[in-house]
Amino acid sequence: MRELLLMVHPITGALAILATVWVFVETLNASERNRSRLLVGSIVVAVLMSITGVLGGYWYVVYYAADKAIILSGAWSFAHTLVMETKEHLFFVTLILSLLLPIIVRFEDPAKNRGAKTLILMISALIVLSAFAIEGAGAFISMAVRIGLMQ
Amino acid sequence: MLNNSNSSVSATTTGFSIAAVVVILANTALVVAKETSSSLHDAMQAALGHHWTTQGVIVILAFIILGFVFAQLWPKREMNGTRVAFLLAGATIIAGIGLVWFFLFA
Repeated sequence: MRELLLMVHPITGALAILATVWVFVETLNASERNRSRLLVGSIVVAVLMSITGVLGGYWYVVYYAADKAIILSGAWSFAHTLVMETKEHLFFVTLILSLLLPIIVRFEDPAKNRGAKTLILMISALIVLSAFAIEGAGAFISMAVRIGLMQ
Repeated sequence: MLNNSNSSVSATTTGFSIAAVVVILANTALVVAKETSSSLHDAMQAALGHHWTTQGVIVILAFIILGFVFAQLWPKREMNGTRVAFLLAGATIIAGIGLVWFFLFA
């Protein structure tokens, strides 16, 4: 169960990034024809990011303490004190942006409103960039555990 | 067809976007507060079993409640979408840098 949760939450996070790129591209080409696709894509982003939060959060709350002890005793202790601490709290920013996305897509028409189009593109870009940073931080933390175990 | 003169977004979009700006900045402020105040940290730990869980619930509830409140407070108020976009980007950058700075130097 522990390993499954550890593997699944970055996968759903990566799928959320892919869905956000989908929303970004649909917005760039916004028209009446892709309006429903845009809404579906934005809902998929919110759902996948919420699932990522629940799974990753459960793993963090229940299982992370053991890994934390290994990291703090190893050479890369900053992987917890800086990287993990930043990652676990930065995720809330990504989650809020992901929940905001379908609300804006539902109430605005980026095909007719330049301001709405810029807003959706900006939120999508912020989600992708922050989520990539979080994915990278996760890889960094995994390496820190490995280094801690090798010592 | 894109209308350059029509860049205003609805009250709902404005309300929830401003709520997101407030919550994103407040999230970083709450991190600083709980990491520097052991009593707050312990209270959040006790509330839902883990301080991170409590913070997550506070952040999500605050976003939803403030979103509805802001949308209702200014039902006639529409903001330029580009302006809202840059407000969100600014808040996200400040909140991100704030988190890194705090855990790097605190």
